[in-house]
Amino acid sequence: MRRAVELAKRALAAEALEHVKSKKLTEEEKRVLAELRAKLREEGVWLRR
Amino acid sequence: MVEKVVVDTSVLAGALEEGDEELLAALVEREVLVPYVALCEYLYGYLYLGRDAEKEKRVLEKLFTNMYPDHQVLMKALEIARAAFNGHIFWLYYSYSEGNFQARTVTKSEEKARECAQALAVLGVQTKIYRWLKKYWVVHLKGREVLKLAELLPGWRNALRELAEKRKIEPKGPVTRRLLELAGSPPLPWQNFKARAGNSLSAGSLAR
Repeated sequence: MRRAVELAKRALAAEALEHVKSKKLTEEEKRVLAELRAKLREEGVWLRR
Repeated sequence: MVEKVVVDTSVLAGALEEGDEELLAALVEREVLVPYVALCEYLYGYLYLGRDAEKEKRVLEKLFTNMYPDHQVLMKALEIARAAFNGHIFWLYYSYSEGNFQARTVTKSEEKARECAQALAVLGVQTKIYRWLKKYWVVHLKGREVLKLAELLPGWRNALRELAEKRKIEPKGPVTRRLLELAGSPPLPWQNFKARAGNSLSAGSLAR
């Protein structure tokens, strides 16, 4: 049973990795995402003040 | 029992954009709760890029548990007590299993965690540092150490008072009893605080 759970978890992680690879985010897109999230976080911090 | 963890957007990005295998493996071992804010922040990037945000959402739902803000969640969030030390925000909580107050903060590097622990050590506060989710470091304080900080910093006493009131905590041991007494007492005289803190740290740098 434990082994089955472990295998299911591994399969889930493998599936997620496959999804990451299929997305093929370019370096430019990654940079845009990081900038966007940093800005959102900054605004969030400001709003909580 | 499976450990429950709450993740922020950077953890989601690390696992599902950078493809950090170690992190992903650590996450699937746990029950991962994604706050609604982190979910929106993550998906907004995909909408902004004109990519398939729906698919991303489906993947997230399959892997993790999304926490949508119902009334219960909001009420729970209001119970979180926080206190600052040296630029770090500590989350204060009451451990029902150990019967004492504890505090922890998370840093993104070991160096930052060590810096924080050193600043606390100057005040005689002992900490435990450990790695969390493969890429974060936690600085952890237990009962007696929380007491030392509460004796020095009014902000910590206020946070403890709020926590004790909201959770209706009854003192179990001498440390918790002293902490609850402190929480209800006015700030200590400046002279006492200065004597304990030593000359190496100013009040400003302590409670930033």
